[in-house]
Amino acid sequence: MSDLLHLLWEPTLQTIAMVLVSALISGVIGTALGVLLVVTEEGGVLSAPWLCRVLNMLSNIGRSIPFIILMVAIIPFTRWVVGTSIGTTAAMVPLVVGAIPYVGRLVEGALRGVNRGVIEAILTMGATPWQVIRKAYLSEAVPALVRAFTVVTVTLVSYSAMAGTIGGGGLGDLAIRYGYQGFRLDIMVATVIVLIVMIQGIQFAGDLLARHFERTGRAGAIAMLQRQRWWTISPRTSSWVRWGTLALLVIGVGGTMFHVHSSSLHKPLRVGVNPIPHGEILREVMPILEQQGVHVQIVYFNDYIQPNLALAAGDIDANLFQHVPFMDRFNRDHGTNIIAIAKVHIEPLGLYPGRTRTLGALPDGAIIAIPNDPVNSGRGLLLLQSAGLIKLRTGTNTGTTLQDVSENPKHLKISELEAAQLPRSLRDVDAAVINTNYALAAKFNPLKDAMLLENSASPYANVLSTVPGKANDPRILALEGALQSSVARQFILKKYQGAVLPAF
Amino acid sequence: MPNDSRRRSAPDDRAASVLISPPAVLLENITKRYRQGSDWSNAITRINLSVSQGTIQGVIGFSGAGKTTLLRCISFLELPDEGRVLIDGTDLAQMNGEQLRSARRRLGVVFQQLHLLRSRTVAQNVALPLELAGYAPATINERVAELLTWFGLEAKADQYPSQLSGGQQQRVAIARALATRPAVLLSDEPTSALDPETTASVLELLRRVRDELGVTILLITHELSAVRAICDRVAVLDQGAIVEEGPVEDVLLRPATRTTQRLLGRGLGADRVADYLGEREVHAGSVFLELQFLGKNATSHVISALIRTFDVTLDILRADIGELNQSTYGFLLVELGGHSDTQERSIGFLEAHGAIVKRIDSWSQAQRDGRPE
Repeated sequence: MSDLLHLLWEPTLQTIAMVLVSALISGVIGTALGVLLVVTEEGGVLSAPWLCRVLNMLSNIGRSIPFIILMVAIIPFTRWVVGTSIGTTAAMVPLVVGAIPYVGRLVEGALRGVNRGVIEAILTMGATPWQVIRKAYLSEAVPALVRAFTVVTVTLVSYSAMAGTIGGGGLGDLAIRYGYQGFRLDIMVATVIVLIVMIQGIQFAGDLLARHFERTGRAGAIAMLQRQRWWTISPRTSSWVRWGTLALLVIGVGGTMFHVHSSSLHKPLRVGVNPIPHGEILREVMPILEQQGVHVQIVYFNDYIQPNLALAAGDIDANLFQHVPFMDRFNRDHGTNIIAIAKVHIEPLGLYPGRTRTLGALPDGAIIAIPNDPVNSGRGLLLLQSAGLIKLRTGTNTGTTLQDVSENPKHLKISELEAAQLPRSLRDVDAAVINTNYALAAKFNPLKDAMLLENSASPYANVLSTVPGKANDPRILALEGALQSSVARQFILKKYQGAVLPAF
Repeated sequence: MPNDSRRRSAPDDRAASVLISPPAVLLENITKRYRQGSDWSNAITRINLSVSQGTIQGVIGFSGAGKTTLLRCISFLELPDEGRVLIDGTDLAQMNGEQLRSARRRLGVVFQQLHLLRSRTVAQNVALPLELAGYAPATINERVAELLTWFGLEAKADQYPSQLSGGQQQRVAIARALATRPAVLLSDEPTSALDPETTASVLELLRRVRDELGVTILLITHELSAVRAICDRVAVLDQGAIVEEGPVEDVLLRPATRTTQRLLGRGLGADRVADYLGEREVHAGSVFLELQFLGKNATSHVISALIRTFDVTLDILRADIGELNQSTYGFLLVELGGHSDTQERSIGFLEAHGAIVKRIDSWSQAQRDGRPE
């Protein structure tokens, strides 16, 4: 239980930080956008139809980009703003950018709900356009604006779940990593409960505030509290609320900036990993590194592309998740220059039973799933060839594709799937070639359960990678030493029971 | 330029100042067109109106007569296509920026739906025009307190509009419109949504605004009772044009146009007489008359004197007696029986005693016989 709370604590804080900061910043900018959409339209108090058309178009474009794509697409912008493209702070940037047009539209709707006559009345009193915006539009729309911001905040909570893609952490990432990919039902349920509590809280607070500002009668929870004299919001204290909100905003933004600034001062060694087993091995050797004064920050990735992109961009200093054939191919495809500096371990690729339990029982026309990334796909085919199930015209070369199958006596139907999906596909296939990290997460014991396993001499040892400029960084050298230490060896052998083997 | 001393002046002084001051509101030839599909139609056509300072000027018309368009042109929410609007001697169309905003404060507008700000308390609503004008908070508080006291709203200062009755909301709206000490108050249908008692108190309040604060009031309405109760002069609007304008007594007692007569609910001739007559027998040789009295000519005195003096019968079919701008007026529809000679002399007697007599000539026995049952 305490283990669960410990696991939940940091992601919860990360989610709160991401949502709070992005809600505040997108709230301010989005409100400005919403106001402009209303006042610049033809006949508005600051009529500028061309500007209105441009803003409308931008809002529509912004609204139509799926968040997950936006997050990756604006990586250069993110790096320009906060200095890095991964981590919780970096995740705030796409959250803000994605939320601005959304906030803008909701604010526009709220302001259009203000009686047109009130606007005309204040104009006849000799109001400047700015006074019309501040004293009529914004003040009169407060209840509607509060409701709009409630919706935005709730939406940001769900958007923040995708932050894991760029190492942003948070509850959504926890649920995906441990709950979905790691088959830890308890964590998934706990995460969902925390999210429900969070969203209920936001909605409750939003409704309470909106009803308070509606100024109709005295019904509602705040009025109830007022009657009991626990808490009073008079016009005087509402100016406190206003200044308090402003202070919160300043603290939020300032805190973020300070966080970004200070973290670049400390300069921890940032190492990108897949959570299992790479992350676990790295965590195990961190005390050794701390003793040497090397502070390591582990950045978790759930895919195989981002860790290398982040490394090439300088967002992380090293990564540990890949083998050399994959790295070579990545360098070729992306024009990067990532180098391997140390073999750490090998995770043998295995063929795991689905509808068919043994190799010999595989029927004619059996369906076999293999990973769909180019390297592991070829590696899977080589594994199948090693058991004589198929024959490849390229022999034992790496970089093999499905088109290279020259003999298939059992008429196997080989289908390629996203690596992380393979354990979940087992009900629907006869067998699947699964990377050990995903097999372990799915509670397989590779030594016992695999129908077929790569042997430990495989060229596919996982390596610590970095870029040439950092290869001689003493901290990287310290990392290399720690990963190839006896502590690491003992940990790997004991923890993984031979399913993962030291490769040094 | 107007100043406090003028605004605070007693009604008697005002009479003198009218002669030398420019009109508070001057509408010159204003025309406004609206597009309807591919056609343009005139919402108002060549409106000319001059409202002297200190006057309560009514503008009355049925709905669709162009009242709203007129209001929007006067309050400068829309520019007329032709002609110009001068408020207190200034043409807003010639101004822009801060000059325009400051000139707008010379005209207070009370809209039909009031348009109070829901998010502001009564005091904050009244303070709004002062805030917009950039007064210091201390000045604003002082002025707001003064206005709330004047309008009897001190106890409501910290309440929100949604917590007030219709009459109270109306008072808040008037107080707000007067916050910047405008020369002219434009009031749109001030009594349309109120019960009779509240209507009377709101109208009385408007009269006090004129009498005690010296503000010229332009009252746009479709309700005759409001015009009767407080207006000095009235303009009758029909199909976008002013068809009749003059002192209330003249226009309402001697309506010159059919529109005014329709507004008054009379002058519809024989059919109306038949309606009031009902199933009653008509005496042979009797005539029907419309009698109007005003002020000191107490109606009943004249009628009883007539009956004592001449050998005639007089049956009252309809009587409408009430207040018109603080003096009594009477309107009677009567059937006068007797010798035609005596009838003529009786009419002379009534006219000599200040009654306005109108013979309903179209009435005849033949028409009555032909009336469908």
